[in-house]
Amino acid sequence: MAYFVQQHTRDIGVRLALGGEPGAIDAPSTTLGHPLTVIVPGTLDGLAEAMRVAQVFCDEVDAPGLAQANVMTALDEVLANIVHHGLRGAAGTIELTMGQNGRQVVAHVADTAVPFDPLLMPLPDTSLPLEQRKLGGLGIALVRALTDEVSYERRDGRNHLTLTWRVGIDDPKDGHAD
Amino acid sequence: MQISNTKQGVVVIVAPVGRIDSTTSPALEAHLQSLARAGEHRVVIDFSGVDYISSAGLRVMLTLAKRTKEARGKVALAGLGDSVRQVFELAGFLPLFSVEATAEMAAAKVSAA
Repeated sequence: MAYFVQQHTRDIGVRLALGGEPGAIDAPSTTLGHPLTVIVPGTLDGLAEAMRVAQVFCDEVDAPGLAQANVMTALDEVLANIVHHGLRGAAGTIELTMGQNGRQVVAHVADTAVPFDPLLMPLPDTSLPLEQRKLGGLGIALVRALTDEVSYERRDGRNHLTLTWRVGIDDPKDGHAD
Repeated sequence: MQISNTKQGVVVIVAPVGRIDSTTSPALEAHLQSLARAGEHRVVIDFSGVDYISSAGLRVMLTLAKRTKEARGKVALAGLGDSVRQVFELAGFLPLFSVEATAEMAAAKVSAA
């Protein structure tokens, strides 16, 4: 798999972090397997680039359709939140690391925006009639619902969000081919 | 993002293809606004070609519903796949829309007085 990831990586011009060089990524690489990392500016263009990398990763691990959609939807929410609310036009960077841990997909997002724990956001009232419907907090509510685990940490001057999905991908480490 | 329009009687069926997220939503919003300016207020959104929708896309749908209601028009959704349906459900959006299995059924719903 690493070979193909590297091919794609070269194509889309991102850095491949294999096995976790010291200081290369903040995510614990031992649990992420062979992670794919991209560092982008905290802009909408940067967001689009990070999403392209996430899609490459999902294609590589061959996650089932609904699981892929959950990964991509949650990541869009997290990244858009950083660009629109965390940075608000200020310069900053977002580092996205996608990894596979057994049958789990793990995404680690680190950003240089002001300290912000999205998990503390109040959830929106989804029972209001059309006219009163507000969407603030909906993105984070979706992140919680579409992931199996989310955790936040402020460390080294950055926000770190780790998202985990238990998906039905085949674990290459199982080694039990039928 | 690729978006196609099909006019069926008084109804316009809008079929976006791919993902509806914070990168692609502005194009969909602009597309729907231009339809509204052209007086098209009976609208079907056909999701059969949509991989997933994030809250940025839900915002576009909410704006469409409000705008159409003000214009005394109608909106219906069709062809929701598992992922899109799940997000609409989690967001509590299903009660806000008429949801049909196919674009044809949705068009019939929106055509009726």
